[in-house]
Amino acid sequence: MAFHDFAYFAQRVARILETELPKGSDVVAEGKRIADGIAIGRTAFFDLMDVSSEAEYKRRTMAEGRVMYHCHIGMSTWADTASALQELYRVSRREGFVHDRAGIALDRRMGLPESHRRNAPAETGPMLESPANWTNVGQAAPIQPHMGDFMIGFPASTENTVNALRAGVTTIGNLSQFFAHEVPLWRDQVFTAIETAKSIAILGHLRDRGTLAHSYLDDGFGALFTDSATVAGWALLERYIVEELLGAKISHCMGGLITDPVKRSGWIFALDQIHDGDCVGSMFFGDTLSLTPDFSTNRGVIAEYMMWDIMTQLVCPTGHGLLAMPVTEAIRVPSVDEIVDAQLFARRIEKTARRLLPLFDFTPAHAFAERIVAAGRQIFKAALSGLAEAGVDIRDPLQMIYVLKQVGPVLFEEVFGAGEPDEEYARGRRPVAPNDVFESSEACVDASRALYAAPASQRTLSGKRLLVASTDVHEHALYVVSKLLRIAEAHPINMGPEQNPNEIAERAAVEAPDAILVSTHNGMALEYAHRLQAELTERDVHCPVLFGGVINQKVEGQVMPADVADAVRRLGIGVIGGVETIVGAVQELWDEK
Amino acid sequence: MTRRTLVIGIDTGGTYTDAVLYDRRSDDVLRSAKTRTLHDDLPACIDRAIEGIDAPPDALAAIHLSTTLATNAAVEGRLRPAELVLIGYDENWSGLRAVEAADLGARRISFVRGGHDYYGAEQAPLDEAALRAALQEMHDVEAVAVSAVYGVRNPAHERRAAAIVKETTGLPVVCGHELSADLNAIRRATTAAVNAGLIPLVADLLKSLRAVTERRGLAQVPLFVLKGDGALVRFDSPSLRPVETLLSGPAASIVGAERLARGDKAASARGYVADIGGTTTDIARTEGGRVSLSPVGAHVGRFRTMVRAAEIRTVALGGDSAVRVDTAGGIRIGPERFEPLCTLPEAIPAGFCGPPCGRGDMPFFVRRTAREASFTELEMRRLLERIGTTPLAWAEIAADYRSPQVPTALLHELWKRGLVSFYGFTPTDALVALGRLTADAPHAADAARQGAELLAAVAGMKHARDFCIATTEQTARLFAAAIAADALARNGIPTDARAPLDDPLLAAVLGCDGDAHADLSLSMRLHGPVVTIGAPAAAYAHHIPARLGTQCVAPADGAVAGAVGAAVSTVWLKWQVEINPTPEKTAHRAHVPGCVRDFDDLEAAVRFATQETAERLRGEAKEAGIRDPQVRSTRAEKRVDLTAGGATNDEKTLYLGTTLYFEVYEAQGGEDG
Repeated sequence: MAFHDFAYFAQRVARILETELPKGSDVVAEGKRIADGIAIGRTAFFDLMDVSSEAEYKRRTMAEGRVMYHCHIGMSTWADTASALQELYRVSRREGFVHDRAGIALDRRMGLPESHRRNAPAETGPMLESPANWTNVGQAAPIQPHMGDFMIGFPASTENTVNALRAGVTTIGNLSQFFAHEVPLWRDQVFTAIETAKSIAILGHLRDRGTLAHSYLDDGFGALFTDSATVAGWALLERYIVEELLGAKISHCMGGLITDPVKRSGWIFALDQIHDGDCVGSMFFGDTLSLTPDFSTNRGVIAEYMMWDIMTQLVCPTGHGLLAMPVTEAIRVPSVDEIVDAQLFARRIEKTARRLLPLFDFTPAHAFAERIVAAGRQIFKAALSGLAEAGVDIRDPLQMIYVLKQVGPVLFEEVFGAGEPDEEYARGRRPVAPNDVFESSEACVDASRALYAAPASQRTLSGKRLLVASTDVHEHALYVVSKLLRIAEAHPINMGPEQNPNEIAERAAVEAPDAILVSTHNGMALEYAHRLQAELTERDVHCPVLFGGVINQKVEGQVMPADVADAVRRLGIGVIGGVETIVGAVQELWDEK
Repeated sequence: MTRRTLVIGIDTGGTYTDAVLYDRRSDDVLRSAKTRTLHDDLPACIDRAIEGIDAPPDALAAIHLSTTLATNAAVEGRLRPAELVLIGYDENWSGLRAVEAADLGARRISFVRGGHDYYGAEQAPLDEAALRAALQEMHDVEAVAVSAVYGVRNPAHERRAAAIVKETTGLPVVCGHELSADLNAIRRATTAAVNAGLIPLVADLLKSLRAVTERRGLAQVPLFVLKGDGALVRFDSPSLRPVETLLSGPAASIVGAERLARGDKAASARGYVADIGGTTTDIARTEGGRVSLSPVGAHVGRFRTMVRAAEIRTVALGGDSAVRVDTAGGIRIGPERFEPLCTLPEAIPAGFCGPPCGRGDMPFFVRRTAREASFTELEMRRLLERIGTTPLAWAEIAADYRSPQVPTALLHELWKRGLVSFYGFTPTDALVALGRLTADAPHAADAARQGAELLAAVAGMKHARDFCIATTEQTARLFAAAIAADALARNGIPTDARAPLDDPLLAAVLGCDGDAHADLSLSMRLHGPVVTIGAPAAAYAHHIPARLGTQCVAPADGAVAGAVGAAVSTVWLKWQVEINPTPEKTAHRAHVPGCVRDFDDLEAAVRFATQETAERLRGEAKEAGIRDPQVRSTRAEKRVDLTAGGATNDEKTLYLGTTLYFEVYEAQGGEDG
């Protein structure tokens, strides 16, 4: 895989800037005009706590030394979601605790302008379909709603932000989703960027009223970098855009992809530093990486990270609401009972955490924070000057977010990453502090190293050229497979993540590889396989193709995607069970040929 | 006036041109004639064939021609110079990088920006300026082929480019999307280029044939030409695509054989046709009287095309296969070929002698071929100088050497280089010696019998006759094995077709050597008869049925099956249209020839596609010679069952698209005019 340098970056940026964008200042002015007409609503929670914004509540609670909790809730309709909130509140009253906030997990279609929602395919979560629904958001129960999914960052950013503010929701996001998510059926990237900047500008003009612009780093490029230092640098960059250029207060969130307790605490300390001691966090997500299909195992996982997260808030209050995940989270949309159960569980752990806190030593976590923030500051500076050098107006928030999104996480980390150059690593740099996703990749390579170094594997693979690509954002398998193939003396051609069938076919037509390996996790394996075959046929490419990962297919009207491994095999495509089965599978396909 | 019901069917083959006079009304072959093919003067050869048939002009409804013109021109590299314009192709594709323009059938290739994607959306605008520049540079070109990436999903760029070519050059132009609805841009381009290179040749032939028919007072008789898929098209039709006449010869033979074997019975649902030649046997399948078509396009010479042609499996087994006796006394047949002993020139039988040292695994005589030697190995040159163009006995050569191994190795090397040919005992000799086949040469039967006597001794048999019978049976068993292997392969059961008698499954089916000791024998039943054609067909026909569980027919007129096939073929057209979901899956996109349109409703898309395509095909069918075209369409939805994996409880399928298949044919009674 070839790594890119600044010259390539500058060239790429120049091409991106060929797209005509309105002036950022005009977008900000438009935001101000809209903001002037907005009266922020009062929620039942504000009345209960006697505050006028969630930020105000958070600052007060932090000062009191109390830990705040978050839950994620999204039933199939708004009515069901509202009654679930009421049930949660009833239980918290009965048990004598405060339920601080609830993230409303809306249907992805909410990111589309209202007029476009009808045609798009339904997904999980409720829709807010009427003014009455919106009014009810803050009134259903005295639990403060958090709107962090499919609001800001999408074509409907402005209308959603206005509606949310009117309903009394003052923490709205999520900027990270702007960078790495798309809504169905929408192609106008310029429009999305304008609406995103405009909606954050609205929050900026209402900053004094306690608004927070939420950004969950693991929903964006944060999950796609390999180095925690790059994530820290990126967080500084987001803060610069939101606070300096758009005038809003940014509220950073992390946690879903962090397993190591040192890193979980370390990241809270790091966010505190990144925000110069004035961090008002929205929430800190649970460790989704460690969840399994086994609910008892999950209970242990949740107890472990909750213990750490609570203690960390006690030593360094950052305002983050802690998320006690229901044990069913990884398998399906949790029921009300399961959410309630998790909340009760968390409160019990808090008691233990407070008791044991003096016995714990947070020095390694502080050291981690120091390291990534120091390197992060370098990355931030390098990125700002690099963008300026490449011709970006770094005072223009619209240009900044548009260009950064188009540049993408891979090029960003290759060019501005802080690690020492080293071709062996995914971004051509040895990470300063490899993140947990990257570290699990390294562990996978080690687990299969002996197999690929074996003479039998080398006999099969030596000198062979294999095209390796992923259908989605998952890079893990690409990295692992490429490294293992090199160990077996093969020549992997790593195309990277998010490759469309035509892109793979085009590259295969040019490279004439001995086989194509496709990693897929986004629930469209069968459609992808079908189209890839057509694209290969059109280009007269006839080499064996193998799929690995999660071979399933989303079907309309069905919550769980269907297993389509057999159907993919019937198309003449091999399916591999894991990296250890690749050698045998390619040999079989080559024998057939 | 007499009702015109007679058709002349002509098949210009590699060696002979056959002609028949066929009566449509009675379904009878009235007359047949055979004449040598004159490759450099096809019109004269066709003229002779028509003369030989001597048909009453007033009763003649049509002349149907199956011609090797296109095949020979393609194989021998005699395509006329054509320009190939590739739109949206990348020169760096390995399939284009590794080849020259000539490999795609063109004199020169021009790459132009443009093309569409899988969904039929424009990938890049057509670079008209670059196209015009390329056309400016073009010289000495007689036709132009245009092919665009995904031109079958959206032909807009091909059509626009074709219009520009026409307007600026006035040359004939052919587009990829007109020739096939299937994906594979390189094959479509090749098909278009070969078609372009054939246009002038076919136009010349048509002109010459017009002169022939006019001279014979047949100017009013329409001339049809057969395509590789077994359908006819009017020779003067603007919808004639010459590339489609590639491999029409085999299609004619298969259709003809099926018809001759059928007699007055209705067409069988299925059947096999084995065309037994000298060196090879072609096995094909028929369904309802038509040839089964290959799922991939025809390969002709160096060209990988998308032309629909009969699916033919060729096995290296024929009347001229080498018959050898191994050291254990077993008879081995093929895969190499010998010149049969019965074709030895007259002068030889006097000095006839067998291979040296009584060996049964060597040829009897060696003769030099016309090929020029271009090597320097001394020993080989010496040996070659000794061998003349009249056959020399192997024993005589061997006598010069201390060990027979030396000349054997040298002669095999010379044979591999095509510098000598071997005469030896063949299945044909066995039939001639048994009197089941007559040979032209005066001493043919003697030569065959002498060869059989010598080999019978090696095999430990008393009589030459026994050896000939054993050889014939073994050959028939191999034919049966080849047909069985083909039938099994078509049903997804692989066998080792190279050594069929050693394949355990085929051995069990055919009851090969060691029957008495076998634990198992399998019986097979082919659905449909086997029709054998070719000179020795009748001799083997009665050996085959018992092994394949079906009847085997060797029609009397088998030698002119190609001409009969041409005569009885009809005009029909096939096409297919895709309807696919749009990328957002909010609409159904119909990729109809000539346009692409989206519909909210699948049924509306199907209605539109059916109407548009049927209308276009009706027009084309009239040009092709159908008087009253009837369009039949069938619909196949690509749906994948997602419940099979057991992952879902509900019955769920994933819809991937719809294909509409169209067929146009003559309405009942439309043909008799």
